[in-house]
Amino acid sequence: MKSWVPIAVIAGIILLFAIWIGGAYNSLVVDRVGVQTAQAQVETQLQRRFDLIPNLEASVKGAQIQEQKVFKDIAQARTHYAGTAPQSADRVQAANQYESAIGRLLVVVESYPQLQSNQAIQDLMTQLEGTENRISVARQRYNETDQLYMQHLQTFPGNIIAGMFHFLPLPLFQSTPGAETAPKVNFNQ
Amino acid sequence: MKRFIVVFVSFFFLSISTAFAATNSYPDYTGFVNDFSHVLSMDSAAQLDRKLALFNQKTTNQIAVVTVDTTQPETIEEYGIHLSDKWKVGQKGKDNGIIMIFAIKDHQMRIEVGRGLEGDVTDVQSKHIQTDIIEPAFKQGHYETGINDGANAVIGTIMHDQNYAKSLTATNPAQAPPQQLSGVSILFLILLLIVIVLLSIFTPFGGILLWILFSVLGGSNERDNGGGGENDKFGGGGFSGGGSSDNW
Repeated sequence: MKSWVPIAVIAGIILLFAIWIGGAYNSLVVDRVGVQTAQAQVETQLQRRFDLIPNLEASVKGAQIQEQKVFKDIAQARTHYAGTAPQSADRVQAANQYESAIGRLLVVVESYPQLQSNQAIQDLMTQLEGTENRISVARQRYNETDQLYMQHLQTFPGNIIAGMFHFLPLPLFQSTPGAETAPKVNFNQ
Repeated sequence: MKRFIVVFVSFFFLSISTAFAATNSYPDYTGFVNDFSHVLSMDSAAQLDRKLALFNQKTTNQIAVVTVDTTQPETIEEYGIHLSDKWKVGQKGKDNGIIMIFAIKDHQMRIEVGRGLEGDVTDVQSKHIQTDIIEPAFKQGHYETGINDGANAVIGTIMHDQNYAKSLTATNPAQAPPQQLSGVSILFLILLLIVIVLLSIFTPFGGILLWILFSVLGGSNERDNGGGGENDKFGGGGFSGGGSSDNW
């Protein structure tokens, strides 16, 4: 028995272990990049909505509609949204607040016949609808990639690697409570 | 018009629910025209299919037309994105596919625009195709007219030329007309053949010439056979929710 044999065997085991760890680490990184890309997609579409609303708002105002409360809420939600960092919990909350303010603006558009016959406003509504659909698709894809990432994060060997290299769990998009009921406008205000 | 609100509200929780509630089964495609609800005559379905195939051949853009009875339990937006994820209409990398979905019993339609065509067919343009062209025909029960005119309008919008679709029908019967050989060139070909055959018999290197001749002939045959087939398949086009919906 030569003396280098056990050393070679140990070295081989260490090497295999390193390759295995490396592979697991890489696949976690790939997962995380996927989630971040999906997250960026959501941000892009949220920004698109953000840019679109002032046009719609201006058109509604331009048609001499007086709904001060709605306009004020939108302005507030927009300021709040603009002040949050992407990917933060605040951002999600701000986006939801913005969403409900937009919902009320849409009710306003619904309730004035002169707005419904306005082609420019109808086109803006179409764009808004398209954006909302893209947001929901982007969120859905985010959730799908995130689900995979979270699975790998919580199962072996991902859970060990995650602890060693600080892979943090990324939250799924949740629907806001009360979102399933249509927003209402109080015309007395 | 009430739909705006309904659609908007449904978006709030659509993103969450769809991940778990994908209970619909989605049909496989049968071609460019998939008339599962049987509103098109055989003739007009075949004609539209040829037109879309030709459009695909010329521009690589792929348009699929689908009629179904209903998209329930999903909204047409959910159904649309799931169907496009399954069919992958459009070329990989170009993402230049469009799916026109008509849910006949739901009285709802949607034009789902692939990522690569979102700039050519904007949401607003796709909406106008539906409200101005398809919807009036559908309201009178003229599904065939509505679908045909709608497809033409989509083609026209993509090409920035509303008459482009007409050129597709005009050239359709004469698609790939046999190349007319003039008398001179036929005579020349025959002479060339005779020379090659004579050379192959009387010279040592003639066999090579004969071989080249056959491989050229064989090659052109192969090209003819292989041309159309690949293009009939949808090939990996991506969608991200572009387009718009309408009802009638």
